[in-house]
This record gives sequence, C-alpha cells and structure tokens, in this order.
Amino acid sequence: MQRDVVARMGWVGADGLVLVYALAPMLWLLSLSLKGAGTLGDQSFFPRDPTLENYRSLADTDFVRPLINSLGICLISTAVALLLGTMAAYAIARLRFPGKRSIIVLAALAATFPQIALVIPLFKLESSLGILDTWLGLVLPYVTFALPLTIYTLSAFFNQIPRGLERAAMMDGATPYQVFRKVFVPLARPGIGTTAILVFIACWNDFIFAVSLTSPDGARTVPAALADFTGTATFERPTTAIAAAAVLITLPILAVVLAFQRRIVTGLTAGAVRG
Amino acid sequence: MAEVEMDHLVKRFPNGRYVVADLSLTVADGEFVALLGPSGSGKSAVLEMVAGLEDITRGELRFDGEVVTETPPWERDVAVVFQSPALYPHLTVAQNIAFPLRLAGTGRTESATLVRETADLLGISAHLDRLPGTLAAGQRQRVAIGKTLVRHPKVLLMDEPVANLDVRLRGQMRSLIGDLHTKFCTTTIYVTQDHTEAMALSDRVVVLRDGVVQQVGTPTELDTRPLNLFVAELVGDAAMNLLPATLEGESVVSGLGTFALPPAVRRASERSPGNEVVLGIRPGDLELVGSDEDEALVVSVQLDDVVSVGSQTTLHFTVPNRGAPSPRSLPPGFSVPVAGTAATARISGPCSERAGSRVRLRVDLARLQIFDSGSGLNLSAPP
Repeated sequence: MQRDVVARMGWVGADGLVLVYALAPMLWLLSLSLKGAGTLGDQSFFPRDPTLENYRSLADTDFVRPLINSLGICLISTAVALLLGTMAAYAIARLRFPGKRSIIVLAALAATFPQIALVIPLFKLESSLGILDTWLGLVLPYVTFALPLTIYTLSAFFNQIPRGLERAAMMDGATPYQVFRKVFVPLARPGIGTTAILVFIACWNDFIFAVSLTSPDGARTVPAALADFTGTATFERPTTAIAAAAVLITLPILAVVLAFQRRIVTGLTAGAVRG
Repeated sequence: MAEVEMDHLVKRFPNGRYVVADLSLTVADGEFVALLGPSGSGKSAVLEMVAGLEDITRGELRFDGEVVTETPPWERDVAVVFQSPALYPHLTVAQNIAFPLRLAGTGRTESATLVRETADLLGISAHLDRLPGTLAAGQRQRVAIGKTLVRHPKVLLMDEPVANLDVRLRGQMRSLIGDLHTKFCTTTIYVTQDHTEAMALSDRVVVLRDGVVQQVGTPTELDTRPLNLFVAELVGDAAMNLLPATLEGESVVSGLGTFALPPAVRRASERSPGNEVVLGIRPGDLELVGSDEDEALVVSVQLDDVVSVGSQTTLHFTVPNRGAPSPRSLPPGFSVPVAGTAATARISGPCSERAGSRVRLRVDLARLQIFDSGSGLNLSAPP
C-alpha cells in the first residue's frame, strides 16, 4: 500500500515535470499575447491587466491572407503527399519491380538533403518556371520533402498486413487496385492519420522555403508573415501582437492533431487476422 | 460450377526445384476431389495454380473447356477457404461475407438477403455485427466458408480448412463441409494431410508425393488396392503392417508365416525382377481365432501390448525377421529393425487377452497386399 502511494507520487511528479517542460513556453506565449503594450516588461507571468486588444489588432493587419495561404498550401500538400505516398508505399511494400531499391535509397537521400542548400536552386528554378510566389511553388517542395516520410511510415504499416489477407481478397474477386483501396487503405488508417499529422505540421512550420519563395503580398504563409510583422503602429513594439498571432496559428495544428488522434486511438483495436 | 481440367501442369520454382511434376487430372462438374499427401508433396501448389495465386510453369488449366492458365485470380471465379481464415479485421462478419458481393457489384438489398441466408445456413446469424477478432476459431472458419458460399463460385478450393481447429470442432466442420457440398454440389478441390478427411468427404482422392501423383481413386479403391507402399502407408484407419518377405514358388514367406499367393499376385510376380517383396496386411484383416482353425491361414504370435479404446482393441506384437531381404534392397524410408518388425492387429470389441499371452490370428488371404521391395509397386493390384 505504502509503496503504491510512493510510486504514484513519483509518477505524478515525473508527469508534472514533463508537462511544465513542454507547456511553459506555450503558456508564456499565451501570457504575452494577453498583455498590453505597457505591462510587457513587468516580469510578471500572469498579465496584471489581461486584454484581448492584441487579438483585435490582428484583424486590422494583413494577417488573414497568410493564414488562408498557410491553410490552403498545407492542406493541399498533405493531401497530395498522402495520395502519392500511400500508392508508392503499397508498391514498395508489396510489388516487385525493377529499380525498387534505388527508389527507396533516393527517397531517403531526398529526406536527408539540407533544405537550405536547395533554396537558391529552387528560387532560380521557380522563377524561370513562373511559379515563384504561388501556392504551387510551395506545394511542390513540401510534397517532395513529405513523400519520403510518408512512404517510409506507410510501407512499414503495409508490411504488417498479412499476405494471406491480400490473397484472400484476390480470391474474393478484388483486382490489385481494389485490394489496395478496400483492404490496405482501411487497415492502414491509423498510419495514414499519423503521417497526415506529421506532414501537415512540417508544412505548417516551414520557414525557409516560405520566406525565400514567396513575397509578403503574395503566397506568403504565416511563419514567414510573422517575421515581417510590424503591428499596427509604426513605432509600436509588436511583441505582444506577434505573440497573439503565434497563438492563433497554433490553433489549426491543435485542431488537426485532435481530429486525427481520435482516429488513431479508436482505429483498429478490435480486429486481427489471427487470434 | 465447372469442370476443371489440369493438363500436364508443372510448377517449378526459380531455384529449379519441381514442386509439381506433370499433373493431369480432370475434376468433373460437381465432383469433390481431395488432394492427399504429406507436407511438401505439392498439393498446396496445385491448389494455388488452380486459384491463380501461383503461376503455372508449364501446362494448361481449363474450366469447362475454357483456358484460364493466364487468367488473373480475380477473374477466375474461384473461391478459396484457407487454413487460417483470412477475414478483414476492420469489417463486421456481415460485411466480410458481403465483401465478394460488394466487389461483384451486387445490390445492397439482394446482398443483405444472401448474407442472411448464408449466415443461417452456417449458424452464425447471431454474430453478424461482430468483428472477426472477437470470434472463436471455429466461427471464424465458418465466416470464411460463408464468404465463398455466398457467391456460388465456379470452383471451390479448400486448403486444410479444419487443420487449425481442435478435434471436436474438426469433426463438426468436416460434416458441415460434407453437407454443404451435398446441398450445392460445387466442384470442390480439398487439400489435406489427413486421410480420414479425404476418405470421408471425397468422391475421389488424389495421392501426391514430391509433386508426383501416386494414385487417383475412390476412397474404397485406395483402401483395398493401394498402388504402392507410399499409398498403403498413407491411407487407412491404422497403419498397414509391412513385413519383409520373399516369394518362393506359389507362396510368400514372411516372419509371420508362409501363405499361398492369390492368382493375381502369382501372375504379377512373374513380372517382378526379384523375389524380395514387402507383405502388407491391414490390422483390420487379422482376426482373433480359437485353436480349432485351419492351420494354413492361422498364425500364432506373442502379444507385446493390448490397447483398448472401448469399441476397438489393438493387439501389438513383433514379427521376427525370417526370410527377410537385406535392408539395402528395401525402398528408401523402410528399415528393418534387428529384433523384428512391430505389427498390430485390430479387432472390434473388448479383448480378454493380456500382454505376454500367445494368441492365434487368422489372416484374410484375399486382402493381402504384396509390394515389390525395389520399386514399392503393388504386385497384387491389377496394373
């Protein structure tokens, strides 16, 4: 009994520590975003005079467009990466074709390539293609960098699906595409959910490509837009406004994670091929 | 339903090993044929070639005269029940059974009716809304069978469907499979290692060894006239007693005694190169008799053990090696222990004899089998 209590206290302590470590910066950001310009440097964690003024001020700035850009670009990138990624992962997990090994190696290579090294070539390339400062101009590199991750995670998931199930499906009359669509995709749903979150977050957080391939008045996404954020007045220090904007752009990610997390948890706890 | 013609089918692995060597077999429309053989005999490879899951190295496969050698599995209209039921874990029982119908584009209401009928037939109506993961092994196999029944395929293939079940369930499932075949008469190819299953269910049994057909025949033919030692050993309720023996003139001499040869064997023995043979006696063909019987057909043995399972008693005894061939001349896999050959007799009902006592057994001469010890061929079976 005694030991139980001690163990429980230990766990509570450890969990608390992790929570503080993970959430303190977020809470600090939240606190900053609620402070007025006057109380910014008062060294108090809790704002003395909490105000929503910063959030209200965002409406006057040109913050809505980057938000729409971000949402659009990230959703499209995630969708395209998953669509191509699941198919590629199926091929890699199940089909035999020439050049399979080199595809796997190349995909890994693409993922490890430092993004900063690609900025200038990409800029040149996109400007001559005329897609600089467009959604497509960001979707393309995002999908490229998301694909290796998608393919690796999903082919691991597909590999877990027993071959017997695939054979059974074929004998039930399923064409290879139907096997993929009606057996593999539903069964790998938790994996697809997880991958979607990771891809979306990676796109949403990208700064390098966003700042170098877009202009403030064009397809600029929020992380880059935050950087050239000046607030409403020219001489005002925009710290609090930036904090408010940062809080605001965290919300979509939170929403996405929560939406998919339910999927993952309730996913497929009940079924198995062998018991 | 369809007639299945396997025309000189060959399956060869990339490493050069022949899994199936030149198999020709026609399964009639509505027939139930079992492929019987030990593991590695190529029976599953035959099944997979018919299913389309493995490609055919050489030869031709026809359904109702139509060549399907190159047809992909999803277009063959062949259903398979696998050893471990492959159900879709994310679908309910009803959805699993309906899956082939969904693929075939059957309407929702029609499909629901068919699923309900099938489930009633298999006694799984109560579980239609459950996920396969929550079912017991026997129920899962029923669902897998349901999936094949619901679509009335041209050919039904079963790959050891009851092997993973416990003994009691196995019997139930076996009779269920028999009943369903009687009801629907779907052309069925049933792969098994268990001769009792093969004998109980099939119209014909095909015995395979290392990818080569040993014998094709009705269960009775296999039991009474096994074409070679391999079939004789594989088939039958109890393992056949195989005793080294020699042919001497018109009789066969073994450790058990000297018996007159039946006429058919006498003729066959003239074609046999040597006179060293293996004498096969089914345990059920030895009968316990009193002392007043004709000496020629009665042998006296000392019992090593008596095992009774209620309705049947098995008498174990050892046959001394008299007139035995040298071990080298026996077919591979048969060795002659120095002390003698263990043999059994099976009699119905309980038995008062105990281990150690001497008993007299009458041999059913008409049912003796004589195998050439070199080739293993049955000399007593008409060619």
